Amino acid sequence: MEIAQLVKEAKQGSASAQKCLFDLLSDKMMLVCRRYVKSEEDAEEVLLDGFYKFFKNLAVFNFQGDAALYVWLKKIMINECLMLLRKKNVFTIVTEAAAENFPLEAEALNNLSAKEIFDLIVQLPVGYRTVFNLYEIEGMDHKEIASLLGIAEGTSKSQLSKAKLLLQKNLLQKGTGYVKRKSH
Amino acid sequence: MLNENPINLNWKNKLDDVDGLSGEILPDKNAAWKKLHHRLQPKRSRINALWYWAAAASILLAIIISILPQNKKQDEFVKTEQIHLTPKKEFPEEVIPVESRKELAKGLAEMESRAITIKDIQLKIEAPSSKDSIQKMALISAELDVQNIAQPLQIIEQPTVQEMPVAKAIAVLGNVQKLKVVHVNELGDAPPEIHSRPFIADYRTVQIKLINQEVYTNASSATNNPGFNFFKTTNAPSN
Repeated sequence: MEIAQLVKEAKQGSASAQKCLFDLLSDKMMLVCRRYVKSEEDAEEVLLDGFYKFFKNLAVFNFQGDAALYVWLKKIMINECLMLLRKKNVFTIVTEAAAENFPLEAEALNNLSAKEIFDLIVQLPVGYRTVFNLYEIEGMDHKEIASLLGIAEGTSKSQLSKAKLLLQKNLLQKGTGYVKRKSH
Repeated sequence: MLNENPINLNWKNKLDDVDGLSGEILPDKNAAWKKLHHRLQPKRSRINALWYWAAAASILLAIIISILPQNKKQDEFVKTEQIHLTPKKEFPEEVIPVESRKELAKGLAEMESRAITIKDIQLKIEAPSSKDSIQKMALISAELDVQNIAQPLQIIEQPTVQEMPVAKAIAVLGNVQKLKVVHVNELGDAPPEIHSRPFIADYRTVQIKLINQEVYTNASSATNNPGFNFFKTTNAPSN
């Protein structure tokens, strides 16, 4: 069944349509949650909270295509992740002076598989990881990130540059596989 | 607002396009869905439970209502059966000799006559209050066949306790204590001892009416005595 039809039926309260949507989107959303939340149990909790809000607010959602639905659901999930992180008080980021924007070796990352990229991101500390995810993957600017996380804009910048440095270091440590692929 | 970084990078698309990684999927999707479904339908389940209990209560009520009249009927049936089953008390002719049987019959007759007299006495003591009830009593006594009674039934109409002439008692009291009406100014200043001590007799005028219609009244208000002096007046009708 098409997603548009499922959304229509789920809006009317059909449990089967809701289950179909959950089955279709849960794995993808779990991946999003795991990028922000390290613990699997916490990620599952966040996922369920996110889907709960998604189904509760589906009636007011104006369906304009699968991509729009995906973006909206992803936004809900990210907000839920940030709420959990704030609740757990993991953002003990000390105010730092703005660091220079360190360029990320995108070419090096492009050669990696999705699983490898995911593992590299998950290895980062929570503060670095959150800012990296929000800036590099979600495309937010530092002002927005600062307001979302309740930190200074400069702190966001420095966290991002540190995250990139660490990622670079981890890429180099990854060693032979990456180098081999780059040489081909 | 989006940052200045180019978003259509290959590695980012890789992350977005992937539907799920092998190690990063829900361990039990069905269990997770059940949890979510339970959270999504809490009100409906409560309403269902409410309907369930309401239906159960109504069914129970209907059953109780249908059973109750049947029980009553059964009780009546049992009573009638019991009445039919009670054996008549008869003296077995084989065991008791004829002479003793006659003596027994005599004794029973005497006992019955005594019982009737006792009943009549009780009726006399009850002293009915209204005329209708007196007539009824008379009818009952006629039915009882009171020929054996030495004295015929005499029903004396007596006034009940409610009809007691209280006004009469007050009138009698009025005859006994006719107090002179004195204006307050004529009394003059009260002696200091009286002011210092509360005068009990002013507010303790007790009237006791007994069932035998004797009225006891204290005369302390008249005598200015703080103690209790009782006067006895009888309002009972003279027979």
